[in-house]
Amino acid sequence: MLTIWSGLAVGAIYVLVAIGFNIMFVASDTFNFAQPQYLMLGTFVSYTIVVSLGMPLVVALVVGGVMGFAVGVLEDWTAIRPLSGTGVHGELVTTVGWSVIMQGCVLLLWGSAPHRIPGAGSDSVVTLLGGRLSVNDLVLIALAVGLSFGTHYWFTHSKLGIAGLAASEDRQAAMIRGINVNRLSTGACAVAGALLGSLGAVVGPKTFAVFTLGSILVLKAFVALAVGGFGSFKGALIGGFVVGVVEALVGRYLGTEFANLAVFGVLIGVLLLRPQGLFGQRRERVV
Amino acid sequence: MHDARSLSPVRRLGVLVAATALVAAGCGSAAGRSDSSAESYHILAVLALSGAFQSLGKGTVDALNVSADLVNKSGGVGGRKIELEFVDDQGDPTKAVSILQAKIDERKPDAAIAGSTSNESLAMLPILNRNKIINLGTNSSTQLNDPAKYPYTFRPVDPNENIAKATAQLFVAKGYKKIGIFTPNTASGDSGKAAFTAAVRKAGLTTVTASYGSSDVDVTAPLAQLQTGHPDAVIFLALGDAAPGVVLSSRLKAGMTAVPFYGDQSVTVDVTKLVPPAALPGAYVSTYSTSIKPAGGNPRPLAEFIDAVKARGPIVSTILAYTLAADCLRLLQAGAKAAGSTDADKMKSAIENLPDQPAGTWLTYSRMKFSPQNHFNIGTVPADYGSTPIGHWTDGQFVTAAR
Repeated sequence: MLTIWSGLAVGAIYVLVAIGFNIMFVASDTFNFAQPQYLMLGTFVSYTIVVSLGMPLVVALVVGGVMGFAVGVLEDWTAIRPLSGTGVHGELVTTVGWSVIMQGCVLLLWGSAPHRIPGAGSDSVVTLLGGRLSVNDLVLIALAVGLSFGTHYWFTHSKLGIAGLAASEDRQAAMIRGINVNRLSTGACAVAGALLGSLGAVVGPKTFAVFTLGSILVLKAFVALAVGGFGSFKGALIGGFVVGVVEALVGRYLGTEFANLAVFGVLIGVLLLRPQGLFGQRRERVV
Repeated sequence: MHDARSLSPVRRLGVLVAATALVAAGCGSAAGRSDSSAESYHILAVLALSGAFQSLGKGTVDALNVSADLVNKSGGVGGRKIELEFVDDQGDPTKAVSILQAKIDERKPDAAIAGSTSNESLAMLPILNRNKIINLGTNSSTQLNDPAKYPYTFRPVDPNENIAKATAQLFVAKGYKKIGIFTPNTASGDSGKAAFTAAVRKAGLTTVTASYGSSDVDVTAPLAQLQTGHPDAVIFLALGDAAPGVVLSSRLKAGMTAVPFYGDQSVTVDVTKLVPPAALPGAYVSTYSTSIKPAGGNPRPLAEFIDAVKARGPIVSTILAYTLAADCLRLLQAGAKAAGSTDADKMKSAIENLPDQPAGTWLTYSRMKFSPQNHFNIGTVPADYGSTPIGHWTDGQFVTAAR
């Protein structure tokens, strides 16, 4: 059970990043490769607030969220909106560029040394269902589950969420129906940035505040989303946990050198059987 | 048909300007090379100055700059002042190779510091040796020590076997019977695993091994694998600044705090800042004596060197990374002096048969010895190695809490 908890805790981080990917993807049909960097930024903001300034964790959550929101707006205005709707998905390249810029800025501001952030609640370890895990890991897993269902509910039941789905399915039709797709895209980028920026305070105690964090997470979170299905929040949850647990179990019983092999094996297997992912929806157009 | 007489005045002027520029460029280029080779000993350092291993690279830069000043003050390399050129390969072996090739095409260096990690070095060695460039570095994968394949490659570091042997003797003295060996999935990790496994078994102890991904944020699962073998103590290698923190945090979660964990010389950062206090009991380093501050203070050459490095900026890793880099330049100086030349072939032979140097020449070890069969330092003595609990840290050295 120790291995399962370990896999779920790492998987929870993939889930959180995948939720960020999905918010952008569902609301504006954009895949934002810079998304994990907001989490990385959040860990450094959290380090400054909690460790350097000695303020409570809740302040780090708020400040990380505000910074993520502001950077998200800036990214949408400079790297996404100028290219959206052109049909060539140039934002796939510009968001990678934005990701590099964010990483470089954090490196300049905070340096390369990793920093420890005290855990949410405490650094203590508890035994649950026969396996040990830290309290912070438990918080991470609970957050991943709660946020997946929360964002799913919001996108399927709120007016704004449904407007986002409409814009994602057909940008032109949504505009004709009176939806301001530009504002929606900016909002999605800001909200996803704010969410991951604030979560840095919860993820940081596990990963440290280290400027390479975004690069480490981006591929696995992408795989998690591909397994679960792009656009599905339930899929992000299952995909993230599957990737984390497969990694941990293979690392435990076969050796870590086989972990990536197994994760991509699962990805290929899922895509062969269900190209849209476990919970993704196949889009068909009648011509 | 066109001949010179048919050229317009403007075209004639153009031809004249172009021809003059070509001649000037040729002269300038030739003069530049000539001046450079006559006055300076050009060392190209291809290092990870950004990316995950940048603390290694940046420490090396500071150490090389400090050491170059000291070596230049004492006569340089074969009478030539050291001229350092740094280029960033971001810790990426592929980038390292392309940058190195471009730099050699531009201006062949006299010597090279090749890579912060063994993976970078291994990628660059074929080019460096093909071009007969003496190359050194601070990394220590055993694959680098192959004089038949890489005749111009030297490392002032001792072979992994030596520190592994010293650590195995420590384990025997402590009465441990079974040793866990926990390494990252990299060239350095594999090399370390092989060295520690051989040394521990040779000391009459048994081993159990497990490995982890060098960018993993949680290594509880592979530690659980190691735990099933019930080791009495664990030696772990930690590549990357965050790795010691990841290993010791995961140890706490895996419930292995009763098992002593020894980090080897790859633990290069202040671990106390990375893990909660509960993760520290039973955590040690088994490393070079130079990384452990003696109760009576450092020997004078090392103390002066540390002060010189600190004057340039904060020390970002164990002082070992700095002293090894400094010893690279001191080795070039000693090699050129013994050879009476800076010719690569003559220096290679001189380093292979290097005579004992005056005390205090080397910062990392007591002695430096090589042979035609061994291009890693085989002159170390037991006093060059030490162990201490991971407690306080100052100026790149571990200091035990008791002190």
